[in-house]
Amino acid sequence: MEEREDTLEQINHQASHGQAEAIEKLLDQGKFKQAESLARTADLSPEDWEQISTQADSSIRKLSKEPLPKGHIPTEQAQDVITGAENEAILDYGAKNDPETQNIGAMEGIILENETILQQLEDTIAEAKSQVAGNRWAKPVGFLALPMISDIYAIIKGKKLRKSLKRLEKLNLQLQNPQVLNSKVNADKITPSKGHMATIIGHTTSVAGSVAVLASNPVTAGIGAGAMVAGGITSLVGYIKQIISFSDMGKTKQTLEKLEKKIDQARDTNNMAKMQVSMYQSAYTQGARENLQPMMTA
Amino acid sequence: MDNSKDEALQKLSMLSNYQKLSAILNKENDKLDEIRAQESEKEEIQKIKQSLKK
Repeated sequence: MEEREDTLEQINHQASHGQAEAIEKLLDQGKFKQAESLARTADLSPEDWEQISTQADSSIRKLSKEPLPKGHIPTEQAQDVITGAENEAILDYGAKNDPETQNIGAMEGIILENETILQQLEDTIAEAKSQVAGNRWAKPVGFLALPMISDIYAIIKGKKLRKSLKRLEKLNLQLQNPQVLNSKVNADKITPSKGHMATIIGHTTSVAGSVAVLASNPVTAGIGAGAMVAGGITSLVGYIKQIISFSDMGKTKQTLEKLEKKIDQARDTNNMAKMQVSMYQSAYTQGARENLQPMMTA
Repeated sequence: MDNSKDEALQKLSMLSNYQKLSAILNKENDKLDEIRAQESEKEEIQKIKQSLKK
């Protein structure tokens, strides 16, 4: 009798282990819905559940933009990674179908570009300052200083930052009309009985309303300041010319400090625009999530 | 036992939701692509008709 019970237990164990393996296989194939549905009806051992959790971690790892530390992923972190991946999917959808989001994506690129330029400027100025501190600039400006001056010129002469800010401003002007796609695509054609995606496209929810406000107000303010920075950068060229003509190390040091301040201001403006873009994206994904909810539960 | 089961099920549910959302967006993308293709086809036909009238 006891022997028979042992055999039954063995059979049950093998059957549940087989289910666990099937769930892991589905996870590995990216069939998450089927994996979840099978798991909800399965009666598994704690070891099997651990194994499934590890397999799920591996799928979550693949969705993460940043490399995650090895080992167990806590549930909260898993949720963050998946929310990030979902937001990215929503923004990708927007980038393909919605001019507003396309503009935001372009602005994001410009902001990153500006960050690189500003870093280059800052590095060069720090180098110049250290040269001034070491009094390595002979009087009058000697051979040693020339390569560095040409570096500063190379960055500023290109006026890349100014060009980027102009582009930013131009894009911002386009941002002021958040319903461009509405007139081109009749949303009813897309989802005849529901029109949920229509609200995503047309930003008609209350969240979307705040998106429109974001697009037309604070971003504009940010770009306005951006134009100011562009003006500041123009005057940087003037400062550089002064540096070259100075033989007075004290004045050169002062001028470099002024330059540093201007770069800090430019960075503040760029960071402000970055924050606005991130707010816009977050409002956009939030609005889209609300609109997608009925389709998710259907 | 409950902890490991709950955690595994929570993670599976999150992954499943992600898949559902991606599938909806892909479907809508395909519909929009189709609409755009139809519109551009209509425009082309219109252009041909107009050029034939001339």
